[in-house]
Amino acid sequence: MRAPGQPDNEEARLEKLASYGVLDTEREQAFDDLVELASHIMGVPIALVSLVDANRQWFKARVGLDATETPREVSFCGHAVCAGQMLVVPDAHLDERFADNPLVTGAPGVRFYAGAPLTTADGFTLGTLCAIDHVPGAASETQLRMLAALSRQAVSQLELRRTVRELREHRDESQAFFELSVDLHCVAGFDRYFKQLNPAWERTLGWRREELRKSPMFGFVHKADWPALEAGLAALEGGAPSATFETRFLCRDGTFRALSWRAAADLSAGRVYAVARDQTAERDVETLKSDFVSVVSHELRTPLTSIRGALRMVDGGIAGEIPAKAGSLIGIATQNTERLVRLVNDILDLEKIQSGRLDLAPREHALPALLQEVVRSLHGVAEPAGVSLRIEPEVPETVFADRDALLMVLTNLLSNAIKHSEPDGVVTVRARERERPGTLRVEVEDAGPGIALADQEKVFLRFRQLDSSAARSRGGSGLGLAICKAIVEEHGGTIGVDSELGKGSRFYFDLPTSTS
Amino acid sequence: MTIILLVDDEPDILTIGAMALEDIGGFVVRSVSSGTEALESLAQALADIIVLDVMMPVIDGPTTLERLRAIPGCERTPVIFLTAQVQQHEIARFRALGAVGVIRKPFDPMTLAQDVRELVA
Repeated sequence: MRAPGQPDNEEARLEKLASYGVLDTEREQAFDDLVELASHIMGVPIALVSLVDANRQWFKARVGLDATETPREVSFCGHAVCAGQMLVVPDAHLDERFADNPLVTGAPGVRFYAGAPLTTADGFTLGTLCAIDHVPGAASETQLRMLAALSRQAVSQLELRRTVRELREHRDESQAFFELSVDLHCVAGFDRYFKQLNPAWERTLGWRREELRKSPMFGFVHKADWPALEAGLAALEGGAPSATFETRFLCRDGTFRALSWRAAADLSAGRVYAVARDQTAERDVETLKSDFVSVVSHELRTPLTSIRGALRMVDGGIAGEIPAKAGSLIGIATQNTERLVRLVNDILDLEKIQSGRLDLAPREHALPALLQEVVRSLHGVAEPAGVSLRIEPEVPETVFADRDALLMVLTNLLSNAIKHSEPDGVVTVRARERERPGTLRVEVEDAGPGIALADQEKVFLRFRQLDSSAARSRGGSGLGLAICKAIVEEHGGTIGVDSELGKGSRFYFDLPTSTS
Repeated sequence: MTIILLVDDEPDILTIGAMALEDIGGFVVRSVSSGTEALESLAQALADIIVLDVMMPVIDGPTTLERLRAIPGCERTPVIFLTAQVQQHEIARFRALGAVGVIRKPFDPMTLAQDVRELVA
């Protein structure tokens, strides 16, 4: 007996076979039908769909045979797989490869064998569709052609089976993702009705999904947020690739939850695919923080006002002449009270800006006059420090900004520059239209100690005075630049600094020149 | 002799404010610590100037202003608001309510009397 050899692509062939996931599965009608037909066409009692694995041939379908598999080394099909073509053995007794094969000498007593290879489109032979008889025989050309046709049908069935399985797995995964996601997923129509919702909607909002599908989605959204929702949907209808918006969404218990949406649309299908995330907890924390800051600050401000007022009056001699030592102590108390007042005011300002409660009213203002006003107002700080303030000529005529907020930014930048200047230093203010049209740049330059590159980002963060002891002695709150940044960004602009240690600093901000 | 009615719910600020207006400004000051007390006080005796805190419990400054205008003799009394609120549009709102001006809190007691004089002038 000669055991079957292995095809050159054996390793890949075995991988390919495994990829169909068919080995050791239940019987299936489609394959059973094929062996029934093969047995009938070939006029033999046994027909098999045999798949040749590493060490065995396993029968996906069989007629006229009880065994479900045999060792590969005794298999006839192994030979057909190795050759990758039709194998016909008219009489096994007369064929030296098979004469002493136990399948020939013993059960099932193979004499005639015809096997058509099951070859995939990419050339792997997985097994055969074979016909077997207990007596010698012959097969006509037509019979063999039909056997080959049936073998191709068997391969098609294997392919189909695999495609279905993959689709099902894919669908199961997508479905599981949809079902288990903690975010709120939905499919909606441009008719403003929900079409599909995942269970997270029920868990988060308390509605049953049927209830959500029954009414237009606007019925569940806080009236004040209708424009945001409509703008998002309209953008998608207009062809925008995605839209993000925030709405309060009604829960079944009558409360609202803050949802943050991201959506995309399929215009041809008229469908919107959206994910909403429940941000209620985050919003609550923000509100709490904001409330906390304003309550604490107001509570601090009231006693501070009394302390400062009382000190001013003692210092002013209202309570009579004060001894020199007491005078210097009152001076210390006054200075530190001033610092605390500034700190509380800055915290309140920053909180107001960041929470969007500072109502900016940007308008066109004359820039030269505004710069002069700031420089004049800081004269009392600059002169004792021996610093001179200079506005470079050729300032653009107008600036588009909220007047008070812009004054605050300029005052902060200029007083910082004064604080960091040596006596006899010069602080220069310049403004110009940028090369990029539609932007105005304002710069405040000093000849102070400068800021190391690594620290330049930090200066705009809260409470990040680089040299805190020095900064404290200069009376800063550590919030000035954070406030500037918030105001400039609220105007749609950017702020930054160019500096080098020992070579001074140039703080600048860019503002759009109009609402466009 | 100019009589000022000073209204603030913070007793320390009342003390400092009254001292500043009397000692530095030479005004005569009547101090009360709520809107209700202010209305009662004005119903008994008029004042030449009213300095009114904005943020007070029960009846705030603007409401007090509205009600005191109904007291005979108070229809034209100059009212100055004391407020920590600093935004321009808020100040504009107080003016629209009929106040002659606004003094920002925290105020400087050494210049308070002068500020009041300038606002009513």
